[in-house]
Amino acid sequence: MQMESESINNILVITPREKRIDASSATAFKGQLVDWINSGNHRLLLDLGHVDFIDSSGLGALVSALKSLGNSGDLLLCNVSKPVMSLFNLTRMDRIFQIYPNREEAISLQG
Amino acid sequence: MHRQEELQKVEAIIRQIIESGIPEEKLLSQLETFDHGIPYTRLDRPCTVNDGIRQVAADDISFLLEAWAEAAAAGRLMKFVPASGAASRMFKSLNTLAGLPDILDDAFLDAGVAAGDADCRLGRQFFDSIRNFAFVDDLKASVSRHGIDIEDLLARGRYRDILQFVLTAKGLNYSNLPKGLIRFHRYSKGSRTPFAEHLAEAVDYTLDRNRVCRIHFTVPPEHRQAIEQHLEEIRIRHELAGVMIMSSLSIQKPSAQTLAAGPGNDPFRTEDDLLVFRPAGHGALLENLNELDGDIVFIKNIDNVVPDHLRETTNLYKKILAGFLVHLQDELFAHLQSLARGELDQDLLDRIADFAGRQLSTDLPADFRQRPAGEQADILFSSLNRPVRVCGMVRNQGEPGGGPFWVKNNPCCPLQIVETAQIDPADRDQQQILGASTHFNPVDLVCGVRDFMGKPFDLMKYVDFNTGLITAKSLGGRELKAMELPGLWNGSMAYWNTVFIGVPLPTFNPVKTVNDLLRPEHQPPA
Repeated sequence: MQMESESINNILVITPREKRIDASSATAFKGQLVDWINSGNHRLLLDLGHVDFIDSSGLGALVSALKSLGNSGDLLLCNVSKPVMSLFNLTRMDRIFQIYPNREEAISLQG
Repeated sequence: MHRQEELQKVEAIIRQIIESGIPEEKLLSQLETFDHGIPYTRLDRPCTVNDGIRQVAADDISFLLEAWAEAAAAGRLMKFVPASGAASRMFKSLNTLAGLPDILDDAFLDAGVAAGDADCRLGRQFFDSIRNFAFVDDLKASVSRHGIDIEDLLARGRYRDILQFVLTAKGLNYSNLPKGLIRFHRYSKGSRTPFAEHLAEAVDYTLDRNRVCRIHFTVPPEHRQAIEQHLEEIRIRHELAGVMIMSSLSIQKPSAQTLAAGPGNDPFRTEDDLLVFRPAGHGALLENLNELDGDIVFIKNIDNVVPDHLRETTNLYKKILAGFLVHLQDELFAHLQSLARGELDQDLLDRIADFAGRQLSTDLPADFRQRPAGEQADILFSSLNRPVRVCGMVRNQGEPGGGPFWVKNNPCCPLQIVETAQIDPADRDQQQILGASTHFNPVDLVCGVRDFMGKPFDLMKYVDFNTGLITAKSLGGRELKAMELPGLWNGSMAYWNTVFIGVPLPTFNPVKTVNDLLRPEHQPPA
C-alpha cells in the first residue's frame, strides 16, 4: 500500500495514496501504521484526502492502530470524504477519533 | 466514557457489519433510502380479463401442452420453491392459547368462542377435529412415548398438555419447524409434507426424457440438515419408481437484511449502541434464483400444495403456463435473432413492434415509427431482450396480498404485480384503482431466465430498487423504521417482460393457519 509521510510540528502526517482501503490493503495499512507507532511516533495525523472509501477491514485497521497507541498518543484524521465520514458515524468511530476538515487546522490546533 | 470502552463498542459494531455480510456501500445506500423515502407505485388501472389478463382458449390448450412437453423432454424445466418460512405463524393462535395463564379446557374454549375470541374459535375447531390432521399419527406416537394416551388427554380436556406435544420440542416441535416440514396431507400409506408434495408435483411437470426432475428449495440454515435428510427419504421413494430427483438447497443470504433506522433516519441502535438488522423480505431470494443457472423456472410457494387426487387441475395449468412461455419465447427469440443479425427491413420492424405491443404489452415511444430504422431496432432489441415471466392470476377472493396492475412510469414493462403496501393509502384515486382489481397473485410463475442465445440473464440488472417498502415497527417499546427490499415477484422482476394469464381458483390452496388443513382440499378424498 502506497503511503507518504512527513513530519510537521512533531506530528507525523501520513497520506495514503489509495482510493480504497479494504480487505486487500487493510493488513498492510495497519502494519505500516503500527510500525510508525512502534518506532516512537505518538502523534500521527492521517490525511485521507485521496481515500474515497474504507470498508470494515480498513476501519478495523484504524481502530487497531489507535489501540496500539494506548493512552499515550493520538491518531488524528483529516480530509475525510463524505462516505467515509458516514461510515465513521455508523460505527461510532467519530466518537473516538479527532477529525479535522484539513491538515492545517489539525496541526494548528495540536500545536 | 473511557476510551477503552468506546473502542470496544466500535469494534463490536464493526464486527456486526462484517458478520451481516452486507457491503458497506449498501449500508450507506440503505440509510440514504430512509432519508429520501421510497416512492409509492403509481397505478394506471387494474389488469382485468382481456386488458392485461389473458384467458387461454380451449382450442389452444393442446398446442401449449405440446410446447410444454417438448421443453420438459429437453430438460429445460425446473422448479424453485421459497421454503425458508417458519411455521410459527401457522400456529400463532395455538401458541397464544398455550401461553395464557388460564386453565385451557372445554369451559374456557367455549366461553371464548361465545365471546367471539378468534384464538378460542381456532382452538375449539383444532381440538374437535384433531383426528383429521395428517400429523395426528406422529402426535399420538410422540405422546405415547411419554406413557400417555392422547385420547385420554382429549377426554379430560387437557388441551395445554396436547399443545405442548404439538408445538414444543417435547413432541412435534411444530412451532419451531419450517412450514415445509409440517405433515400436511394424509394418504393410505402415511402422510406427506409440503416438501414431499412439491416433489410429487414437480415430477409431473418437470420430468425430462431421461426421467430426471429438477427442483430447488431455499431453506432456513438451522433446518438445512433435517430438510436434506427428509428430501433424501423422498428421493429414494421416487427412485424406486424410476424417477431421478435432482434437488438442491440454498440458504437465503445473511446479507439479505437491512439496517433499521430511527425516526430521524439515523441508524437505530440498541442500548449498547449496536446496530439493528432486520429481514429484508423475499426479494433477497432473487440472488438464489440468479445463481441457479436455470432456463425455465416454475416458482411456487411452499404452502400452496394439494394432495394427489386434486392435483390434475393444478398441474394442467402449470403445463399450460409453461407451454405459453415456450411458445412466446419461440417467437421472441426469432425476432431477437433477426435484430441481432442487423436486419432492418421496415416490414420486419413493424411486425416486431406489433409483437412487442400485442404479446408483451410494451408501450413503445409515441414517435417510434418516425424514428430511423436503426433506432427502432435498438429500442425493440432492448425492450425484448430481458427475462420473461408468465404469471397465473386467480379471481380475487379477498385474500391479502398483491395483484396484477398496469403501472405508470414503466413503459417497457407496464404489467406489474403490486402489493397493497406499495400504493399510497392517502391517494383516493389510487385506492379506487386498487379497490377495482379483479384478480390476485397466487405466486404461480413460470420464468424464462435465459436469453435468445441460451445465455443466463444477470437477473440483478432487472430490479427496480425503488419498489421496496419502509414500514414502522417497534423494538423494546421504541419506534423504528424497517426496510424491505423489492419483493421477488414485485420490484425484483420490475424490468422483466410479463404476461398474466387467468388460472382457476382450485390451483391456489395456501395453508396460512393450521386449521386450513381441515379444508376439503387438504383432506383425503371422501
